[in-house]
Amino acid sequence: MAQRGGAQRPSGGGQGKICQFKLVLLGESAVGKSSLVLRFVKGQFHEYQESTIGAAFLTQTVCLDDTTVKFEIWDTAGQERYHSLAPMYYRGAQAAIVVYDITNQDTFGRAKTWVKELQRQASPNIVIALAGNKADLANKRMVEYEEAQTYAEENSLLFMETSAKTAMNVNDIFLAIAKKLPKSDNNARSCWMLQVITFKTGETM
Amino acid sequence: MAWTGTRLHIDESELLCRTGCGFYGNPAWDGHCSKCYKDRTLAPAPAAPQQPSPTQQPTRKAVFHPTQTLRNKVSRSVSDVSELTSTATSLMSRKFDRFEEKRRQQLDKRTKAVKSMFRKSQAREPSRGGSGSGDHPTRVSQQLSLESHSIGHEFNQYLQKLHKDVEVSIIKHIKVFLEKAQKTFEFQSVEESAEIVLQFYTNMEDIIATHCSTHGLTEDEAQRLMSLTERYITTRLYKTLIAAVNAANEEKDLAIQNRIRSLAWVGSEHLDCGLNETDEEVRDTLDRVITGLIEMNSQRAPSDKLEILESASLMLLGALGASSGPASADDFLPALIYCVLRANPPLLHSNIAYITNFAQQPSLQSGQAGYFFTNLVRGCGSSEGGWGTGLGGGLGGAYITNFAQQPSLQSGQAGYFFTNLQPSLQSGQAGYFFTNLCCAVAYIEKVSGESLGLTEDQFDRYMSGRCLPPTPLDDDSVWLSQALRVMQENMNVLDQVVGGRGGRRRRPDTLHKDIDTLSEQMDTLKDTVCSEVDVVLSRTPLTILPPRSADLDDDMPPNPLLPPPLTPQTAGSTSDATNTTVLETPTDSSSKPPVAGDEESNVDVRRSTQTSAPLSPDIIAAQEGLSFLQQLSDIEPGMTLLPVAESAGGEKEESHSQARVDVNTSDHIGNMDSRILVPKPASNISGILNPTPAKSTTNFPGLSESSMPTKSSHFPGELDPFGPLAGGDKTTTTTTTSSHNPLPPASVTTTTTTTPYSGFTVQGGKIPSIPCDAGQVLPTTTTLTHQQQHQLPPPLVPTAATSVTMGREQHDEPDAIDKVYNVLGDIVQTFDNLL
Repeated sequence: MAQRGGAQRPSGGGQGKICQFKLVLLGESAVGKSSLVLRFVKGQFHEYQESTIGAAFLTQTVCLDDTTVKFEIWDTAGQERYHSLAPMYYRGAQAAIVVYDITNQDTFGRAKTWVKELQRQASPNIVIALAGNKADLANKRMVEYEEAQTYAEENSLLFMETSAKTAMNVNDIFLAIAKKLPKSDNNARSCWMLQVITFKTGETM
Repeated sequence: MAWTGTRLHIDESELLCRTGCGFYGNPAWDGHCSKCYKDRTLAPAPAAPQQPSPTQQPTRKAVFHPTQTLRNKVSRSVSDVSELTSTATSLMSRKFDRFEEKRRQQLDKRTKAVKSMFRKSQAREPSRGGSGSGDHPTRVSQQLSLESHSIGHEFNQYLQKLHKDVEVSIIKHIKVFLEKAQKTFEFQSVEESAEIVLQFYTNMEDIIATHCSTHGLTEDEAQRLMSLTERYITTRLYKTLIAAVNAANEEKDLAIQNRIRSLAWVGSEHLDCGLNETDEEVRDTLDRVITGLIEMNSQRAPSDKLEILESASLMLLGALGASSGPASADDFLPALIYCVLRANPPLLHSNIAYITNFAQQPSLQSGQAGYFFTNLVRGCGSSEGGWGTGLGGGLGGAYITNFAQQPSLQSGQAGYFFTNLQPSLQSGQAGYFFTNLCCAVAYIEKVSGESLGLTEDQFDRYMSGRCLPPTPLDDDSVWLSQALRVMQENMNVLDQVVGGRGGRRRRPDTLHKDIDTLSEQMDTLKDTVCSEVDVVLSRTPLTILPPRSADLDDDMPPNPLLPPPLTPQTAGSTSDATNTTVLETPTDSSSKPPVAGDEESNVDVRRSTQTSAPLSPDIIAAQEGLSFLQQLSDIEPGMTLLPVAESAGGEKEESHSQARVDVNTSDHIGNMDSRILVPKPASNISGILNPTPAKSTTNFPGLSESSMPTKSSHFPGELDPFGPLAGGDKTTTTTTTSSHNPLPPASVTTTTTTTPYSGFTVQGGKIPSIPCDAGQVLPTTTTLTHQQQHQLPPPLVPTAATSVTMGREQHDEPDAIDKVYNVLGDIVQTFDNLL
């Protein structure tokens, strides 16, 4: 079933599996979430660009060895006032990128709260990546690389400093996520069915 | 209380009346049959009359009573008896709540009661034979709506392209399902229906999957089949399903609608969305998005609803992108909230619930363990971990819906999110936009002052309608109200024109300057015109003729009627020639008499006017009129010789003309003066003028004396020079005066007509001849004459009457008269205007 909505890749993936993942972008507004994803989707890495209108919802396909990973990227509103709506977005997401701005300490603090929230409330197996964006503005840096690095390690996050402007590490971070994502989906469904059945019988009895 | 558990299997023995009378009992009647129940309830009140007919109204009334008691029982079992009394006391204050509660309970009751009856009837069915089973399908087919037909048609067509086995099996499954659904859904809760529907989807998927392997269906085909199935099913069952959904969400729908209404003051600036609403295009797109959101309600299949939502969202994204680069979610969500606020879509919650419940699960892989789900599951002691790892599948949806039946999970915010956000809608573009819509709704529902950047106090005041945000009429205000927009645009334009803002003083200055120059031009124009008129006047001094004529007039009262113009007798043929020329090309005739200085003066006038100031049409007309008059006067000299002109009409009447001459001469002597003279001159002037005199004579009485002299004043002067040329005939001068008649031609004709009629009767015979004459004599003018004869005949008559002896003189060309009159009228008017 997992392949149903998968990208129609004419080649490249070959007989390999096609996995589709939902990825959520979180982070304070104006840290560059959208530009990051735009760079990823429209940069040199992309092969199939399926939606060019806006950056709110984009898909991008990545080739990994024998599998094709299709990212469904959900952008979220970063403003504080919409924070409470975020669960609706990251529910069911297999991956999340929490973005902060290295020139703004506040955004890093915000990113930490996002990570905490994700770890607590999102699906347990969610792959979380921390991205320190605007790495091209290193001279205005307010968040040290080491600081973020340690934090990421403590929380077992993927971490990279990126720059949507120079495309630094943009593709890499998505690729790293793709690698880390579990590819064995088909088991999941049968597992589901089993649970449903047991539950149903339980209910009727 | 076997009745409270709807799902329990009920033994037939339980269905029977408790008293054991052998009839079936009814839960509404405490398990009694109607008769026993009535007996039982009526027993304590023996005063009540016996009800012989258990079927009609009374029973219906009774239904209410039992429900009441039953509810009481339930509530008693749930809480205390005291609660009953308390509710009774607070009944007045909580009337509405009670009403709602009651309504809901009745709904439940009905559902249950009907359900049980339904089950009962099923149990009985075999005994009734096949008749009952046969009813349903026919009823169903009768109910097919237009939409159902169209989707059914589409579905069929698609199926026919597939393998026969596939078609048959799918049709069979759908039919079976529909039949079942139609029977049961009406009495089920939304969740139950949803469960069944989702199960059916899964079954269909499996069936199709098997077909995929056996009949080589491609994935695309399978997907299409599934979506068609979904659309077909939901369209067919729409009425039932949406009714259930509506009933369940009615309060929420109303609540959000009111909420949105009270939030009408929220502008895009509050929401922090980057919509540039001053842009025409963006506004149009917003309007379309809003229409889309509202339209969502009119679609039947969930996928169609989603499609509309999707396209509307994409439009919105486009609009956002137009205002500032590619749009991100930072802009999108606020904009969507804004649109929802503006649109206030009907039945919002119902639609969302409908989509979540009955949309075909996209079966894309998506994690099931969301935040709310986790919360829900926690309460039930299940292991979330298992769900969390779970991926994909419509079964998840089914599972969750099952789960949702646990009442403890259906309350509060979590319940809201749960029901509104089915995980199956968590992927795909449609899923994304749907999530956004849900977010927008959720945001609207709990929006507070803080989230809008206002203090709570402000927020409260805005919400209660006591205040309005101050921004609306600002420069960049973002109101979608068309009227306000237009008003603001106009204000801006005004600002620009008046130059109020930005210190743009130049524009008003130039404007004022322009106005000044324009008024100056107007002044100069007036001056020049005045001076020209003066020049003309000075060149053609006034003669004192008019006063003289007045005296004469007194002497000769009858004269006015006489068309002395008879003078023309002398040479009819020649006059004819001149006449024609005059009519065709007045300039020629004018040029003929070089003596007349008027012409030159005319030319001068023209030149001067042209050079001095732009010629207004009025002036030109006036000049033309003048020149024409002058021509006429010019002609006179020649005319005098050939006064016979009028005879132009016919040679036959030459004899008459001679007679006329006599008359004329006599007239001349007598007329010589005043207006009376006028007629004569007219006669003197070629044939053309003849008619005029005739008219003028008649007119004279009607004419105001005051006006006469003033106007005529110019001409007498003009004519003076001719006087000698013309042979010193004073008649000539009179002609001009006549021509000056200030009265508009129309009035002249009317006056003439009235008086003449008597004459008409007398000399009716002659009148017809007029047209003929004109036609013969002046072929060029014939057309004119013909047209105008109709108007003019009257004037001729009077002349005839007056002339008496002459009788015939009048046939002269009426067109010429008319022309003269017209010209004169124009001139007078233009001069009046100018001066």
